[in-house]
Amino acid sequence: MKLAMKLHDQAKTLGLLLFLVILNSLSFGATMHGGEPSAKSDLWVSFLIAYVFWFHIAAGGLAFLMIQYLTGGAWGVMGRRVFEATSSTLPVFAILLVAMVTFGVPNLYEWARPEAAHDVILQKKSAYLNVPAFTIRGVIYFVVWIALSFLLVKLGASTSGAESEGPHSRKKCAVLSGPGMVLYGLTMTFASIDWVMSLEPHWYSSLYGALFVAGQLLSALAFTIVVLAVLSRKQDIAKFLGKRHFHDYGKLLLAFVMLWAYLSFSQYLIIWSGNLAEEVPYYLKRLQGGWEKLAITLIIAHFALPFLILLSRDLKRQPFLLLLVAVFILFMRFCEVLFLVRPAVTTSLSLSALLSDLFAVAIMGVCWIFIFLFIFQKRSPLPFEDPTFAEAVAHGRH
Amino acid sequence: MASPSASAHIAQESDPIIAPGHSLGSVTEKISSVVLTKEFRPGWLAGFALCAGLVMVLAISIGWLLIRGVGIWGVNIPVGWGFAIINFVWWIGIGHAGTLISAILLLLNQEWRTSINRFAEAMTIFAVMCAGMFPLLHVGRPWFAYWMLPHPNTYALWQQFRSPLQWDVFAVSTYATVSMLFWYVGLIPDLATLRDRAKNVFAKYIFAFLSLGWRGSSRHWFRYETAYLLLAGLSTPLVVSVHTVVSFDFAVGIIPGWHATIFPPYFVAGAIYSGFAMVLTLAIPIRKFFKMEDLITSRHLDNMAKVMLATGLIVGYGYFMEAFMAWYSGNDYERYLLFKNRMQGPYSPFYWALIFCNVIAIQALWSKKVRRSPVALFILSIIVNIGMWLERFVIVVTSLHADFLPSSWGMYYPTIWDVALYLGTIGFFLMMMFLFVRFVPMISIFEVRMLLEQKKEKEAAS
Repeated sequence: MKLAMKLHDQAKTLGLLLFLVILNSLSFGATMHGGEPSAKSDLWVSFLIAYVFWFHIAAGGLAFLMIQYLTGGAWGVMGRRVFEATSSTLPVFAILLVAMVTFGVPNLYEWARPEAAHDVILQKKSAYLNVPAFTIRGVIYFVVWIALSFLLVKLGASTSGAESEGPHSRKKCAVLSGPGMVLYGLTMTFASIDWVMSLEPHWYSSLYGALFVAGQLLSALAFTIVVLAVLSRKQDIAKFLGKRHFHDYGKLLLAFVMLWAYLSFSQYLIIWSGNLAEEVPYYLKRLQGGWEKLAITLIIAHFALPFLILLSRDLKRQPFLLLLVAVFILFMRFCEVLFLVRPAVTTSLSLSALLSDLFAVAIMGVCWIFIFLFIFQKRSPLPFEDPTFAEAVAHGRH
Repeated sequence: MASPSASAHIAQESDPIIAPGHSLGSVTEKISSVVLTKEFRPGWLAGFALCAGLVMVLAISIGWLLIRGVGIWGVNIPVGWGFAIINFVWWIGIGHAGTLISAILLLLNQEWRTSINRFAEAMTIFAVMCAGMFPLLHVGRPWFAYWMLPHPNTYALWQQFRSPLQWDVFAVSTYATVSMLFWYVGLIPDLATLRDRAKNVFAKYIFAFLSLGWRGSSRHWFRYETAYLLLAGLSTPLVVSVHTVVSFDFAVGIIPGWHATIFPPYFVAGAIYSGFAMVLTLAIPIRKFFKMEDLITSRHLDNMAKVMLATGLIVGYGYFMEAFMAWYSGNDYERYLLFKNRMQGPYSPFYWALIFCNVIAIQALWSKKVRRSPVALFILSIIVNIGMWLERFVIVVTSLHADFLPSSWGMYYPTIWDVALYLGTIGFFLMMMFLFVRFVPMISIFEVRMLLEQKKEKEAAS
């Protein structure tokens, strides 16, 4: 009986998930069929922006899930359920990628269009930049990520078992997380090249993958802070989440804001000083046609402002204030994704494109948050059964 | 940030940072007795003599260089940056572990840093000294080196502020100053302990002078803790900035193989990697020789090996991205440099040796057994030291010796004076380490005592 109930529950979940995802892809698909070719590719760009923005949170959650097993800090125990839930939403992105591969690739990527055959440089890299290879790599990435998140969530659940079994399973998770991080780093680098960097197929930067990952971790971290800060408003959870946990998360947020700025600046400085015809157009495009406003906004609001604000110790120890900063950073993450993707296709900043991007992020966001909450609410919001939980709670009390 | 982890605490019980059986007195006695003795052990004397001999080699090679000029080195057109830059980058990279251990691990609440921070910092300072020698000598007339510093002058001298070489001057000198301050501030309470324990009047005077009137009042401790934490915060960005600027030396150039955006993070990771390797190279014999195994435990070795593995993997990622992007760029020069020149050209054995040392050999560190075996770790740390030197050799030489125009290609061969100067700096570095372990407490006495006390409190609480 119980089993039947469970199966029924699972089937319901699965059905709902599928429904949402199909709805999501259909709503994009429907708008994208018909209309001008340029308008069509415009919409696909909006789709890509929304996709990358939300994907960052999900995949970054997977990375943090592994990082917390490897480093074993108290902050990680507190955020574990959030990381598990966000990384469990990765199959959604796999399905969305199918939609993109089926309908969107030539609309988005110059290298997939017939005119690429006449481009000497693109011919040299056609062994990498072609639709079948793009598809196969996409399959590999998602197989790796989904397998990792599935295994870690499953093994992590068994840390909730008997006391004696607990530390053992945590150890197993840590053993898996080491190689898992290596795989994550490699696959995410190539995913960043495939999905975003190849929008401008002549351009290249060997730092790109690292920058993508740093941004991703920042997104996931900000999102986790939002969830934990909201949770801490509930009486029964608040007693476990101490000020020091938020302090630790605030410090991590500051560190990743700085890492992102460091990598962005390094890339810019090297390309600016080299001033080579094959590299510098990337930034030239982004420093004219209104995009320069976005660039300056990023320097000020994605780096300087959060950096200065997060230096304050008192602020980091107040969940509500930290939540505000995290929400602001999430908005800046959208701006950065916009900055990476949009200028590749649209030469000047236009309100209609911006609105369409925001709209796409909102639609996908509503669906994704719904799915996330659905998964997140199925289990306790904090891993009470984790063998290290009591100590992690004690850590937060200082 | 990554605060003392819950799981680490569990591990700690069975796998302590300090071996059981120590009291506050025994720790003080054990560490300070190395310094406060009249005896010079024969092993120490022999090692010191050998290193002092190498310092003579250093003196001779600098002397001859000043008499004859940089023409005695192998550098020429097209390879204008030979051993001097290679060794500069190698040494400065080694000098990164100290500050990382002292500053970043302090901010991360990693208490295991306590037993190794003191000599890692000392090592940093000596490594930066060695590093500094190379660019100074490479300018040809070191007595004009102050021209690199902006100063009011009447001979229309204006530094090139757009050049990363100029930034190097600021980055390295700041780094040297802050590391020195950090080391010295951290030493003060221990110097006071030595002052109180010294029997020899002469030694007492020196330690009294150096300990700046430290009496250990709570006000002193309060000021000390504040200053130390501030210095840690200040030196954290320096860990990243110095090697980033060093990587810019190459990356802002447009030579194939140098102009890669991955350079800054991968150089920083490489610096930490080589720094930890050098810490291990030194720590393993020192703990054996001075019987410090109960203060530098296998847990320390394990943790350092993990840091080495993580940074080594980032370095491997860097090599891989360089190669992939060279191909992906579709640029003939980039592709030629990586696949024809580096991998198959005249210097290819160096490239493959570097891949073996820095990427393949360290995969052994995945095994806990290797991470806890001093012998295996010692061997691996030497391999990494060699690998990191080879890395700089490959980067500097392969890119310069064959760039865009085949008619201007040429080979680079170091001369005996290049090698002598390099060996000389190694001798200088080791000699300073010998002096350090003999005359300064090599492990922070008061921090180990604090750790012991905290452990006791924790045990009492539970």
